[in-house]
Amino acid sequence: MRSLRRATFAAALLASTLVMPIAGQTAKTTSTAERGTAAWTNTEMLPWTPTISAAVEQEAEAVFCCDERKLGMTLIEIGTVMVVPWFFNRHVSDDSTAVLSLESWGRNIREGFEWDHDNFKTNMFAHPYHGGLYFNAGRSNGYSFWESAAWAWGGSFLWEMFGENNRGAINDWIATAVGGIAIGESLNRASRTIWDNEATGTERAFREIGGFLVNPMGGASRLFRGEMAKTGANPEDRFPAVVRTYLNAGVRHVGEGGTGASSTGGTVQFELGYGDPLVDLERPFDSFNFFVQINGRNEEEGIGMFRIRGGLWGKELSESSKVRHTFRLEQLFQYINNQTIETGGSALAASFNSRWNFSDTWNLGTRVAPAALLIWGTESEYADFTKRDYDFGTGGGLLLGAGLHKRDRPIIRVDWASIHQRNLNGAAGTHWSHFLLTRLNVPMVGRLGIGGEYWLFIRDSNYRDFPDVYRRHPEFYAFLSWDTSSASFR
Amino acid sequence: MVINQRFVRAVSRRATAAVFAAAAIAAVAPTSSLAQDRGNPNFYYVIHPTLWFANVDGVIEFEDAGLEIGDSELYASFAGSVEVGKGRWRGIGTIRTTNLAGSTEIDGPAIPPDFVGDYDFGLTVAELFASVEFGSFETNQALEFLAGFRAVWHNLDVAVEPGTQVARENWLEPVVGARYYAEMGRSFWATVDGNIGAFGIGSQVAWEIAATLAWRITRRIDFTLATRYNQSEYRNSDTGYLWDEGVIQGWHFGLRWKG
Repeated sequence: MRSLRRATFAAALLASTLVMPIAGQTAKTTSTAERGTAAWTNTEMLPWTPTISAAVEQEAEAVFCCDERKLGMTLIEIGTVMVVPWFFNRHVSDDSTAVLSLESWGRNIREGFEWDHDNFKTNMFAHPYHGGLYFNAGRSNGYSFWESAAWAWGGSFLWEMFGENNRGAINDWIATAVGGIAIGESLNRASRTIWDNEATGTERAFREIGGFLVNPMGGASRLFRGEMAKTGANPEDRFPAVVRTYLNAGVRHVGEGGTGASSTGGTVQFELGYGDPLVDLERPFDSFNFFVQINGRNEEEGIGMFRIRGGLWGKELSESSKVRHTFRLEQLFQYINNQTIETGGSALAASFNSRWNFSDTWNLGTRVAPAALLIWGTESEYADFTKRDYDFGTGGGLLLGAGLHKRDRPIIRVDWASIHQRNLNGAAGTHWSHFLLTRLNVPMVGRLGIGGEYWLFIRDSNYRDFPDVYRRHPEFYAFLSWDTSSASFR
Repeated sequence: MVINQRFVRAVSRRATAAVFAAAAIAAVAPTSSLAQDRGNPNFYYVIHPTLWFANVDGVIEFEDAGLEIGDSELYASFAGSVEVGKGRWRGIGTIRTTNLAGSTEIDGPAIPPDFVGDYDFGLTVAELFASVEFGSFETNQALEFLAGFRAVWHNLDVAVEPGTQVARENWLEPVVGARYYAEMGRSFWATVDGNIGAFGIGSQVAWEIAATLAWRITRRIDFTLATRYNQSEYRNSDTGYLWDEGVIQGWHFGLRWKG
């Protein structure tokens, strides 16, 4: 069953990466001043859809969402997102927590929140993904980023209070809402590059399906509004100036120091760089970085890492021909779940980014970002006492990064993060977590490259009531890299 | 003592009339901005008293006794906030106080096993923040960052035969946070705010999140419904006082007056 899930996810991931280059080619045409006539250019590029220009001409006035907010549809979609899992829990899983009553609702209101004991994947990945559905129910019905954030907070709160008969979980409310904003907006932006209102025929079908897989609520909204079968102009901001995607496939070796012996397995990494973090600062998530890693058979969990770093607000500090400095308030979402470490959560970072130009070809990007942890989880050895194999907490951290780029393609990358978590729930105490991530990626032929990575996780946990723990986990990677977007932007 | 009933009724009538008159004046009084006063160049103030239905849970250890406070029930009490602002800058003061009493098992080396004693626990929190709004004023939402201090007072009386043990503990801690505000049509607005703090100064850690939904009754008066969750962990090595996984949460119902 797990293999099936992994295969399904890998297929969806691959599908999205295959769609991306097509999206990237379209971006080349629409991100320039000729956006208004992009349909004609596309006709030349996509000869298997000969009717596209005629269709666009006939339905050029077709209206796509949304000049106004659609409250009713938003409520229906959020209600559906709540009722479907409740129905499944109540009538398929026969889960006792789904037996609702006025008494249980009253008790939840009266007793308030507590911290739950769900496993790490449920709390730190599944719930935030669900929050992304609430968020995109609003986003795909005309609400702005910040307004949709309110839907994520509201939807999550209603579920915690009234969706289950046990007390609401404060960690769920926050993780669902905050993580949902990051996941929701990044998937919303990604799906907008896939959907093409001007496309027809087979390509249109694949684009609609691909966009639906990436952003189910956006796809549902398009379906309900009849936009899936309608042709017309694309939104002007469909593409940022730059989109870069990478697909890495290779082997991952986990060194000794993990919870088990050292082992080797396969791994696939997908990275999406949307927008330029030093240029696209105007609106939330005008630039973001999305990274997911799927691990092979030497791991129990398929998704080993899931990370989003998006800009909320930014400002140019200074610029010259040699260097550009910017400030960006960032939202971070991180989920790491493998045999060596289990940590993640949501944070805000004040990121000072710089780009140092050595020549027309080479530049160095640097990043210094103090961060505040909104809600964070770190694994703990004392699950027998705390009923959960990780602790919840808050705290702060410092993120440092540097990357050497050749024609904006990263060749060498070094990142360091130190995070201090003060536990709010679990084993009383603190966790210091340090992360070193280094990457070398050498372009070989065309879009293909070869690369390697060295990761080091260090955890220093100090408990009030239990013995302290120090752990050090190295990981090694070797992979083939496919720069799936580079041809479109060189 | 004989109370003059006619006098009481007259005072009551006048007080009621005064409240309605104030509300009527507020309703028609000219104002150029909405409740949040985004970018208001003029000085303004907000007074926001609320009923505070608080639920307190936590473990307290002091001297030679330990007990678990709270039974997940709501206790009616009072809270309020005052806000003054101009342009991007605001000063915010809040106070919340609650008191609960109950019986619980009390542990301690000199206390008999399974001893159940009565306790009376008063908890007051006061905060003072300065905040600054980021971003454009031309939108229907606002994001503020705030920093300030929180003062906490614990008053605990525990009946342990033959006498009563008393603990009085208070501390001051730094806090940083953010508040997000969104207009929701003409009649409603909402806020979500959160803060983290202390990190060893005052308590070991303090963490709070709150959400408010407001109904704009008039241009000056809003009805507010809010939920708040505050958790902290405090240890005083000098007195031996411990407030472990202490949670104060509950519901606010209030009227918000902007002048």
